[in-house]
Amino acid sequence: MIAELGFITLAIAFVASIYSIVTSVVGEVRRNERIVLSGRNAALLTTGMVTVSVIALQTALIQQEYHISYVWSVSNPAMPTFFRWTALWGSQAGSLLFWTFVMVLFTAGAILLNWRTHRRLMPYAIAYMMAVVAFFLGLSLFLENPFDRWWILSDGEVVANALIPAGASVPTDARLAETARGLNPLLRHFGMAIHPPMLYLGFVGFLIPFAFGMAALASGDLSTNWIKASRGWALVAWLFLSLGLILGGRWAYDVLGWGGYWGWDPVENAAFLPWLMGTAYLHSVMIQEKRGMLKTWNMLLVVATFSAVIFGTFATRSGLVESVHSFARSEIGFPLFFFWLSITLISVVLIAWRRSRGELQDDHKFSNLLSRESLFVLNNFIFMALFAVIFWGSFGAPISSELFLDTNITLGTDYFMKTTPWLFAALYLLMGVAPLSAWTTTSASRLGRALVVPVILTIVTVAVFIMQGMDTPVAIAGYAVVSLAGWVALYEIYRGVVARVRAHRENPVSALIHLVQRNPRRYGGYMVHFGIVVIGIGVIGSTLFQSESQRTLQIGESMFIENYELRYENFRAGQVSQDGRIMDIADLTVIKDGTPVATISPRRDFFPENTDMNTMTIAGAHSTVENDFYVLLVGWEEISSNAATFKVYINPLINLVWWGGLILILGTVMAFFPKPALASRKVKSAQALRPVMEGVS
Amino acid sequence: MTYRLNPMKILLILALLMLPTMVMTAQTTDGDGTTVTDDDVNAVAKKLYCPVCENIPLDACGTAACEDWRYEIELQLEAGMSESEIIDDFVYRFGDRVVGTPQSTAPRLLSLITPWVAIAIGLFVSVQFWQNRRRSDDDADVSVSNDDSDANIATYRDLLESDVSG
Repeated sequence: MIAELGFITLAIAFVASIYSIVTSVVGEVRRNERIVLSGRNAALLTTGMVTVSVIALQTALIQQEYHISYVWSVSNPAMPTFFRWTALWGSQAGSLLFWTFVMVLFTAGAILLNWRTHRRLMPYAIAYMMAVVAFFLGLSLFLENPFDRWWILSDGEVVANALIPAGASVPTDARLAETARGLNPLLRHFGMAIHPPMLYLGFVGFLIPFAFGMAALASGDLSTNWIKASRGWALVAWLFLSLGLILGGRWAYDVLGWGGYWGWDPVENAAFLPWLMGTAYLHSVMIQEKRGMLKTWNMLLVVATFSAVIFGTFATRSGLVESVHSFARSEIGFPLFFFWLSITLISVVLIAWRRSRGELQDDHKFSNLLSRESLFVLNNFIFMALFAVIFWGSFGAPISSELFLDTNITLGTDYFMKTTPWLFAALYLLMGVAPLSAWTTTSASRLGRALVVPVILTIVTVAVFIMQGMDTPVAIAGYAVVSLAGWVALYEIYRGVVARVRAHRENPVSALIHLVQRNPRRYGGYMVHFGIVVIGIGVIGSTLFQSESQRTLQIGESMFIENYELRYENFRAGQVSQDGRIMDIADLTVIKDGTPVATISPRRDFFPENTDMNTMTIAGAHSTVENDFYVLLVGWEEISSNAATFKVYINPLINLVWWGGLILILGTVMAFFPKPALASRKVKSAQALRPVMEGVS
Repeated sequence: MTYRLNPMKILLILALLMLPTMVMTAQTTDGDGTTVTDDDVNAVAKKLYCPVCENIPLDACGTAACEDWRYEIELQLEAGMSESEIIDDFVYRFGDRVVGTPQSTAPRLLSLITPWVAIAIGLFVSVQFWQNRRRSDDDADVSVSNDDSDANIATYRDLLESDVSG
């Protein structure tokens, strides 16, 4: 019953989404309000139907309906309830449905919140949003149906199908439960409960700015309306994508067991590329808002961001990442590829058409190379360069080498560490200089004067680092540019506070609060910059100064690394967890400068029921501000020998990566909030008008 | 019943007893008599990728095949091979996919230079585009400002004439 409900609502949603596309466009072209409203209602119906479908699949997972092949493939009777919830996105079919669910939620949000304020853009925006939704619903219905059920054909063959084949019978519940495969062990982690939804929210959220951009092109309303309509959505998407990337890094650090958080893996890069484009867009769009410039460029950026989202989805879901040839083996590979190509080409052609008609002309031109808009353009260029370098390393080189050179070039960390640091350094440098530059025109001497204090503070910071014993030129240069960006952000906040203290005679704390309240976007932006600076400090420290050592120890024996001693105390083999995993755990004491500071228990988990990927290395870590003492249980001999091999990493400043991420998130949330002063003014006005309005009515 | 050991059996038992010692010796010393540690092996393995699993460094890969390859690196280090010789040997056997950037000159250059060439072309096109636009904007400004001045003069004349006549 649940499978039928999920399947039928999915089918209704698919039909409703196509109806919505047609009626929205026809209604707008014929200027027929009733048809337009019908299209809007069909879009909202799509949201409702997809929601019911997702609830049906989630219920099937909770109730252990193993006759549904998806439920059978991602869960088993031993799995705790928590992982039954997260199993919704544990494999291709479920995660595609979840992806579509997130997409329709965003779509409904955009329709309900923007319908009155941006009425002219809405019909085309709905048509674009529903076109993307319809495509993904089609994938779920026809190629990756999460409601396929197991059937035994008359010849004994077992097949998965949504509809009952002729003469087929149903396998017994007991047999299905006995053979159910369970969730991929790598996904049985708390981080996996949050990381994929955050990434999906980030990816899918960029659909809304894309749809509004395209609606502007289609409707001919090429003012800043589409930017006003989509800025909040772009910021929300960027927030979730940032959160998803940070959580993904944390998950990799905790679960993948290699001592790091970013391996320049194509799957990671596929999520990072839209982030780069989205960040460039969020900067560039300010120029159009302030100066009416870069209209074509902003359109291209919003298209490129969403195009990168769809390409990343195609690359990671089609099997392209592993091999060009596995792309052909994936059922959704070709449809996703053609969809990506189509939306990108159609969008670019639409932009070119409007531009050729002179409708995307800028209101002003660049007058000064040091103006803020010029520096923002440079910032955009560096983001594009980073995109090109990372795209080439992740997808360009492997695909072109396999297609044209008959070889398989896979570019790894080595390539990325040779090519990206220069560009990141340039970005940090610009992050330090651009906020001090003024719009329209800035002289070199004015910019130089504004930079004096932050540069002095940077020199002092670097001097302190050198006096502490840092002698690596790359690290010193890295910390110099990162510090400059940080000091500029802090100095700008400080200047604002001092100005308010003098002008309003406030104490510094209330001055800071009022400053942020008056311009949350500006000071939220500085906070985001500061978060990126903190991340940069952590990345430099953990990348350049990481140390590692591997030793085999007998029980009671110690190994030494820097000023740490690691003593092997005990080994607990074959501990069985609630979810059926078998854990081999080593108990270790961490001793620093002769004093025991922590007891840690790295372990290896074994999943006997899983045939594909059945072991997982869980690190034991002692975390401080200074560093992470991170230990992996690499291997062990038979219990009688009492010897085990440990790999120890000391990751300096790595926790700043997570804390910086937290600051970045808080800054983005701050930038998203409207100005309370304005809001309270509206409330006061409404209160003042109420008697008048009551009198009128 | 007495059990007699023949010389072959004694040799076999001795050999079995000595085997762990030989293995230990083989694992801890290289051709020059210096010790090969796990860290030495990992230092080389870190620069290689698993030939089977995509994008996983050899020092971090947990598969049995990768354990064997790490042991092979250990044997190669013991035999006195340098780090670059071991990497070359892996590339020879498994192809350029086992290293972060290709070893052979043409693919290496292609890998490292292509994005920068693309960036340089992008920069060149952007600068050209910008210069052309500035030029056309300047031309437009001149014509617009001429039109403006003519219009202003006409308006001023009209106002002046109306003042004088009034």
